[in-house]
Amino acid sequence: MKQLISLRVNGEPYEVAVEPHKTLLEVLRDELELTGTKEGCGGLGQCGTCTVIMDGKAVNSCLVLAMDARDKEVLTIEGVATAGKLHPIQQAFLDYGAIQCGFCAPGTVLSAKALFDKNPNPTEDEIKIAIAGNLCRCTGYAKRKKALLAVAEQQGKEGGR
Amino acid sequence: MSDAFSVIGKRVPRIDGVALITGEAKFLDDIVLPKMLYGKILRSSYPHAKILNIDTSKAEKLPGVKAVITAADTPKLRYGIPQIYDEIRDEPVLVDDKARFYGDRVAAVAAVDMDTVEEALDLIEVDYEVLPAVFDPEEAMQPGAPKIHEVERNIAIVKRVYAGDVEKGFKESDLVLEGRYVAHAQEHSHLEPHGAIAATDISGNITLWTTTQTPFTIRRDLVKMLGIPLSKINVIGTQCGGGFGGKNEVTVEPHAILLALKTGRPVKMIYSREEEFIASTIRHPFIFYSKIGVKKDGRLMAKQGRAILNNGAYTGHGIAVAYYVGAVFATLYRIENVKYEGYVVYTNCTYGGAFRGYGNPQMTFAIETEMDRVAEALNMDPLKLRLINAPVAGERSACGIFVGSCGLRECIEKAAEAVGWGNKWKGWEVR
Amino acid sequence: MGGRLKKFEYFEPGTIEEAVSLLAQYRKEAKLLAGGTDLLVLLKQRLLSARYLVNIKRTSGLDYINSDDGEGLKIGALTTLSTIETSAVVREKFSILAQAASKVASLQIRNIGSIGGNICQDPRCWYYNQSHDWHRAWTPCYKRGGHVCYVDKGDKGCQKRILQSDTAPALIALGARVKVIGEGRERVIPVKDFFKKVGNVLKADEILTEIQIPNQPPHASGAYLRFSPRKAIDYPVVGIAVVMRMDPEYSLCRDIKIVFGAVTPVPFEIDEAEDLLRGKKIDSDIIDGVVQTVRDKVALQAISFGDHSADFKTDMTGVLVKRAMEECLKSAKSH
Repeated sequence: MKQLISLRVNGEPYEVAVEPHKTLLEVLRDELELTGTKEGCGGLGQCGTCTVIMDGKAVNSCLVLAMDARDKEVLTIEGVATAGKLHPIQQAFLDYGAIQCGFCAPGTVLSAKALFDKNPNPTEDEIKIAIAGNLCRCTGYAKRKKALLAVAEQQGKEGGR
Repeated sequence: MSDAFSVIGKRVPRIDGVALITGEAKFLDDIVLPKMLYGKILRSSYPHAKILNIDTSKAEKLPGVKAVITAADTPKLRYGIPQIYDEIRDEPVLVDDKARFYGDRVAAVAAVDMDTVEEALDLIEVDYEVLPAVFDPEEAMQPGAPKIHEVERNIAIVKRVYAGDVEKGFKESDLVLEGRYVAHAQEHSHLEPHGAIAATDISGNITLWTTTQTPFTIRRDLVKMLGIPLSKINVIGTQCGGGFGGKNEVTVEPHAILLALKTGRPVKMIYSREEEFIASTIRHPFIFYSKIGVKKDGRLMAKQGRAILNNGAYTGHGIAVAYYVGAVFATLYRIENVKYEGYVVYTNCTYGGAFRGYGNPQMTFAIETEMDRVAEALNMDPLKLRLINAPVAGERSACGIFVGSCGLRECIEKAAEAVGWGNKWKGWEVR
Repeated sequence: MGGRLKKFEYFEPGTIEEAVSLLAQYRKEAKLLAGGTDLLVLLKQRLLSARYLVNIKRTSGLDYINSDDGEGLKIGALTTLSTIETSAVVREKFSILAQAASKVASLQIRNIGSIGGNICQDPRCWYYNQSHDWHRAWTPCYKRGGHVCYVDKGDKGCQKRILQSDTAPALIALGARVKVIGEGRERVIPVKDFFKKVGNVLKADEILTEIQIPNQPPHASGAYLRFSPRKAIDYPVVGIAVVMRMDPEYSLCRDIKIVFGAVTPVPFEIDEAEDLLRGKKIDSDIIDGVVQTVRDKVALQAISFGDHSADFKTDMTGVLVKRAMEECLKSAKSH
C-alpha cells in the first residue's frame, strides 16, 4: 500500500506516494523525473552510478528504501550547479577531460562533492578513497584524480579551513 | 603552430560536456514516452537445447501483459553481418529450432511495468530437450563433437592469407621456433547497458531510439532482420554511455520493434547487467599456433600461423576478426613468406563481436611474445630484432596491405632513449 | 534480472522490544533491515525472500559509541561503518576495528552499512551468490533445497559458505562480545562463539544490539589487512587481524592474537602460531616459523571462492601474517 512521504531534494520539498519496496533511486528517476542519477549494476551497490548525497553523506540510492529517505535532505546531480554556474568539481572535470561517455559522471561528482564539502583540501589518498566506489569504464580514472587534485589545490589557495 | 590555427592545437570544450556533467544529458533509460510499455527477452537456461514447444498462454493471460512473441511472430529468416566480402546468415531474431548458448533468445514479453514483465517471463513454459554442449573450439572441431550449426566440424569459415613460399623460407632459416598462444574472452562492460525504445504510428512507421555506436548500420541490419523497407524505419542513436565496440550490434532492437508493432504502444527494453555478460558480444577468445623462421642476423624468413577463434553460437563479427588477425600477422613485422589460416569455430559460448582492437590485441600479444622468444633464442637485443624487421612506409605487406605511413621505428627509438634502454639492457642472462 | 525488490509488508518498530516481538511473530517470513547493504542485495537476487520487512533504522537505542574507562567500548549495532572508521576513540584505542571498518566495500556502502549487519551478514559462496537467472541453469545445491554441493562434492549439507566480514576477525582479536536480545531474554556472547559451523547462532526472534569491546592492555598494537582483487567494492578474499602486546622494553611478545577471516566458513584463530610467539623475542626466524605454521594450518581448511583457489588463499595468509606482524612491530616501536 502506498504511503505519503516528504523529503527535500536539491533544496525543494517534495511529497510522494511510495510503496515500501521502492528505493530512493526509483523514486528519484520515476516519480520525480530526476534522471541524472543512473542505474548501472542492477541495483546491487556495485557501480556507484546511483550515488546521491543524503544528509551530507554519499550513498548508493539503489540500496536506500524510499521510506528511509523521508524527512532527509537529498542532493542529486541536478542540484550541484547553482544559479546556472557549474560547481568547481564539474568545471574541473570538463577542463581536465575527466569524462568520456559521461554515464558515471553524476555519481562521481557527488562522491567528490561529499568529500569537498567536509574537507576543502583533501590529500590524494582521501580523494581516491572518496571516489573508489564509482566505477568508470572509459577514462581509467587518472584524469579525474588530476582534476580533483587541482580543485583541492585551488581551494587550498583560497584559504579553506 | 598553435597561433596559426583557431581549432588545431587548441583546447576545445566538448559540445555535450555541460549536459553530461550536470546530468541533463538524456541516456536511453532516461527517455519516457506516453503509454510506454516495458519489455524483456526470455532466455534459454541451457547452452544447447532443442525447443520442442513454447506455451505462452499463461503469460498472455496475466493482467498487464500486452504482448508475447516467439519465433512464429518473426520473419522466417536468418541474418548476418556483411564483412569483408563474406556474410554468414546464421542468426535468428528469436530461436525457432534450438537454443545455441545459455542466454539465447526464446521469447519476448511487453507489459505495463517491469514487475509484471518479470512475472510473465516466469509463466512462459518452454519444453527443452537438452543436448550435449561444447565450449572449447578445439574440442568443437573434433569428429563427434556436438554440432551447433549444420557445418562440418563447427567451422563457420576459414580466412586465409598466403604469400611467398614458407617452406623455402623455413629451409633458409637458421632458427625455427614454434609456440601456442592463448588469449581469453573479455566483456566490454560499458557502464550504460544496452537498450532500445521502439515506437510505431498507425501506418507502421517505426521510430527506434537505441544506445548505439552505429545507428545507420543498425538501421540496415533491422531492415534485413525484419523484412521491412528502409523508408519505414528511423533510427535515433541516443547519448551513448560507453560502447568500446559492444554497441556495434543489435540486441533488443528487433524485439522492441515487433512488440511495438503488435501492441501499438512504445516499448522500452533495457539489458540487465547480467544480460550484458551472457547475451552481449565479447572479445573473441583466441588460440594461435605459430611457427616462425629467422636468420642468425635477425631477419625474419617465414611465418606460419593457425588461429582458432572461439566464435560462440553465432558468427557476429567473427569473419572480419579472423581476417584482421591474419592481416596483422602478415604485416607486423615485415615478412615475405607467410601462411595464415584463421578458423572461425562455433561453440555453445556467448558469441564474439567487435571489441576495440578487433582481433589486434590477441594477435599483437602473440607476435610480441614470439619476437621476445626469438630474440632470446638468438641472444639478440629484443629492440634490435624489432628494428630490423619493422614495416617500412611505402611498402606493400605480404597480404597486400599498403603501408602508407609507419612510425614504428621512430617510436621504438624514441621510447628506448626515454627509458635509457641502452644503459639498462644487459643481455638475456641477466634477469 | 535484478534491480527491483518484491513487495513486502513493512514495519518500523520504535523500540527493540517491538522489533523482537515482530520477529517472534513472523519468524522465518520476516527479515530484519538494518543498513540494507547485505539484505537488499540478497532480496534483489531472489536468494532470500521477505514477506515482512522489519526496518530497525528508526528503532531507538541502537546507534552510539560509548567509551568507559572501566567497562571498555560499547557500540550500538546500527552504528555505521563510516562512523566507526572515523571515531576518534576507536582509532586511538581499538585501531584494528577502525582499519577493518575502513576497508569494507566503498564509502557509499560504509555510510549506510551497519557494524551489526557486517557481523551478521549472510555467509557467501561462489555457487550461491549468483542471480535468480543463473540458478535456473543449475541443479539446486543443498542451500537451495537440493542434494549437491558444488564446492565440495563430498559434502553432505551446506558446509562451505564463507563469512566475508572484515569486522568479525578484528572483533575476535580484540576479545569483543555481542549482546543479543530475544523475546524475554538477553544474552552476551563472545564474538568467537557467535558463529556456528556456517552462519551465526541468532534465533529467529533475536537481534544483535550491541558490541562490547574490553579496554585493551597497554603496549598493544594491531593491524587489520586484507586481500581482495580490487581495493574497493570487493569482499575480502583473505582478511587477517593481529593484536600484539609487547613488554615495556618492546623486545618480548607478551601476548598475541592472530585471527583470519574469509578463508574458512567462520573466522578462526591460529593458536599454534600464537604459541610460537608468546613470551618470545620476535626476530625474523620466529616470523618465518609463524608463516609456515599459519600456512600449514590454513592449508587444511581453506575454501576456494571463485577465481581464488584454496591454495592461493593459503599463500595469501602467509604473506599477510608476515606483513601484519611487521606492521605491529613498527607501531609498537613508535610508542
